Amino acid sequence: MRSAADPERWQRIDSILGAVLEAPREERSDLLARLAGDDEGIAREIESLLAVEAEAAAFLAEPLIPPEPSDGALAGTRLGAYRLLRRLDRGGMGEVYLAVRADDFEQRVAVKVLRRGLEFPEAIQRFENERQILADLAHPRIARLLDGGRTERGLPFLVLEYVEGRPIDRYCEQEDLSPRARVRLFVAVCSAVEELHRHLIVHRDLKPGNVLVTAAGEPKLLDFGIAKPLEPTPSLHAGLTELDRPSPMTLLYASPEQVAGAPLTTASDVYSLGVLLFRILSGRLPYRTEPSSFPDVVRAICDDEPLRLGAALERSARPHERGLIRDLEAILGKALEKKPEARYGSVDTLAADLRLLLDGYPVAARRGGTLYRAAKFVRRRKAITASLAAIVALTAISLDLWQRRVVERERAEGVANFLEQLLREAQPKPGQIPALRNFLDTSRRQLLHPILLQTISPATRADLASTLGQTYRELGYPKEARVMFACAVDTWRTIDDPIARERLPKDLNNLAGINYRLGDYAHAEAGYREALDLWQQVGIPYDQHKAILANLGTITTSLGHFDEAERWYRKLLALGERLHGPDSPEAAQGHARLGNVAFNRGDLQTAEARLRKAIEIYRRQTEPDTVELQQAELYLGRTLLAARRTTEAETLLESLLAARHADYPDSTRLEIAEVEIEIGLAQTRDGRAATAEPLLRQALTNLRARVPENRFRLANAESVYGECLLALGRRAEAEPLLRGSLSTLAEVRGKASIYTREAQVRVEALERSRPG
Amino acid sequence: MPYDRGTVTELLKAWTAGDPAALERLMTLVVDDLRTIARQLLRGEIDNQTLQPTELVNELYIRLVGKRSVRWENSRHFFGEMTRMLRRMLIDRARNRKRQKRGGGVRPAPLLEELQVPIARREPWLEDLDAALDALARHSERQAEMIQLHYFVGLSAEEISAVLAVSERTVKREVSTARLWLYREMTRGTVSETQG
Repeated sequence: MRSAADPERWQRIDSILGAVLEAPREERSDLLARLAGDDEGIAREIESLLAVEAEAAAFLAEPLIPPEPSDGALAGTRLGAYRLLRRLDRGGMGEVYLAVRADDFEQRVAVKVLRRGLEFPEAIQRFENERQILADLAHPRIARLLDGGRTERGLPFLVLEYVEGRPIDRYCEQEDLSPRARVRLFVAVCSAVEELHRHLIVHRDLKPGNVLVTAAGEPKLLDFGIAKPLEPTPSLHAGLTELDRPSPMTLLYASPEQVAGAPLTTASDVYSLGVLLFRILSGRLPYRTEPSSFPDVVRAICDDEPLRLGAALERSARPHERGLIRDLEAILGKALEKKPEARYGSVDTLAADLRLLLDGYPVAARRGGTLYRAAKFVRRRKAITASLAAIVALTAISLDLWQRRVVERERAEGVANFLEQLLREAQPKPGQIPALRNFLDTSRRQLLHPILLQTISPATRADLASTLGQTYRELGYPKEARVMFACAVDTWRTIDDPIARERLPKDLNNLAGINYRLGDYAHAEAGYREALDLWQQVGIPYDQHKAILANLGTITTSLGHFDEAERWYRKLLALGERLHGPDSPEAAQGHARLGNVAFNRGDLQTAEARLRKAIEIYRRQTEPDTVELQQAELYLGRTLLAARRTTEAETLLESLLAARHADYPDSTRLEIAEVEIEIGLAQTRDGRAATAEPLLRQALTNLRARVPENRFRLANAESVYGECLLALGRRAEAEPLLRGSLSTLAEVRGKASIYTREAQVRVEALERSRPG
Repeated sequence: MPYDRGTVTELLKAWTAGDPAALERLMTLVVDDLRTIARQLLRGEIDNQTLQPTELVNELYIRLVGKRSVRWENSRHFFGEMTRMLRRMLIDRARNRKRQKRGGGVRPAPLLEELQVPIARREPWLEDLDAALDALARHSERQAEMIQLHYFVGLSAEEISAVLAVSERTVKREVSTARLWLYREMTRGTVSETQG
């Protein structure tokens, strides 16, 4: 058999073989003999390789996929009424050629053809859709779609206005325009981009090369980077998993979300416009150093604060320009915010601010600056951040409205004051949470307000409802959160587009989670199932998948639907094993959950096997998740108790209790009490009911204090305590506890649950002990 | 020009539904993009560390490999990952089809105009190649990398030298030796069978 990989030997063979292959045939055997020396093994090895040289001549000689014809293969050919001259650009969907009309060589156009490899019905259909979209665009500042057609092979092509001009940054430089003139030019560009957005298209590739200025000083937006339709109106936290990575050279104008591969909205164009504006005003990019490596670029865009315009300008500002510069800095700051929702809500508002600037009015960005910088500082409390997100979102809308109505300005001011007040405190005082709550409630009412409904699109409304729902949830108001999530879900259902299709399962998941917390298991289960179904159609993120499967398992277990629970947990286990391996904590979680189900249905043998397996895997981790491990141990303890292996159970549970005491110094906690209940049970069954009684009594008291609404836990604890009391002969006290807990358990967990059956056994013991 | 996400989704759906031509289209697209990047590298239009995957490449990578927003250290790392992905696409596909067609021969895929030999026809020995490549990598990781760049991505020797930052001569030599070795391994049947 071939010897095992021996790198040194192989290297030698390799270098000798390489040398021999390079040598002319007649010299080869001599060379080989010389280089191999007296190592016959190596010489033979090389000879056997050389022997197949002729046979292997064609083997892997050509790549699997043949290389494409040389650049611009279509140049010089004719396409419909046009003659293609040379290739201008090459991109994702197709190539662009400079062309002339065959019958009129004066008129120059740009022709875009579908790319090799994309000639199949669906892609062709999309190309046609692009044509449709572009055909609807008629704006003096956008390169127009002139014509379209099909090649002989039936492939579509587009004919576009050919724009001759200079990239906007070079134009500004070469014409030495004043700052105001540059801003005016830029505002003209904004109107073109806004037109795109009105047609629900995100450009995604805004850079000087795509904004040419003609000799007449007219800017024109090129559509080479265009054609990414975005069906609904831009939402603030768009959920579509767009994978938009710009080509290498345009990374410098990309927004943080583009670089990170996160969802895109028109706000991304706002960012790119911000970079563009910075560039044409200062001649450089708003990044501290010219990034030279990919990680640098990513860091510059995603993490670093952009430069201040004043710092970037080379010539020192004249006094009357300083105000202008400060305002521009504010505007740029807002356009270049890392978070899309913090930027200008639309290109229109950006342009509006610039127009105000040019006309000498105060700009909105200066006021907004406090609001958004304030929002940046508050990272501490998740609740506050979430609610600020909601506030910021709502304020963004109000700030937009502010441009048009003074009334709204007062509302925006009110919010700004509120926030500043909030932040002036080191920590919000208890009384301020209600104030925040009032604001949220007001926002919630507004969300349903008819005027706002007209002003904002369904998608934005659903989005805001979702954000508010999360805020309420963080603040601990689950009922209100449920209303909001339900609103979000209902609204998403009415929208038929990719964004909604992405968001619906997320909010269904949120709604289900809240329902579960509120104890509405039936709705929770339905919600999770639907979310899972929908998600699996679009591609479900692993964490969510894991969580949903686990949640569905828990719910169905609680409902007593053990077969279903087992199904879900088996999927969870399979998922964990597939992605992380059979010895991973994720797989262990699957085992542990299956163990729980088995325990619940009374299949103690399986339960023990599964739980031990889970524990084994957890223990083997370098940094075991003690929470999960302890949970598994607790269930194993319960299993052993149910199997009446009291001594084993007690040993295990005692060590678990010790661990829990170490983790939780406060011994009234649920985590301690639940172990004490089991230990008390073990002691009772071991004939030491007297020792158990005070332990159980205290544990029960603690449980009542901690989780008064959890009927299951309390009923179970009471049943156990009842068993202890009965063992002590205190029948009269035991009876109500035992009977009451049995009926509760039967109701809450169903008859088949092991908890109910154990309670039943205890009641039977009670009956047997009836005096006389 | 950005891709229409729908295109890729359509292709992926078609491919997983069993349309072999879809695989060829996908691979054509990916490979074209990778070649463009390699060419740009070679011409110095982009440098070794400012590499950025195209959308298509990125999307496929994320869907097939499951990672988001990987940061590439350099071109070697990037191309290595991409080639691994391509290879996996091919091999998975070959295995699936083999499982589906237990007993019968492999049905040749419909021809696309540009593609002279459909990938599907080569599938029967792709698995052997896969195993052989693994064996080769145990001897010399660099040769395995090179041969993959040559065969799966279709880079020229010049382009490979730019991607891996070695001399062109080294590339040519090592590709030749690797090809011989792989051929011998595959025809002698000494490569251990992959689990089916």
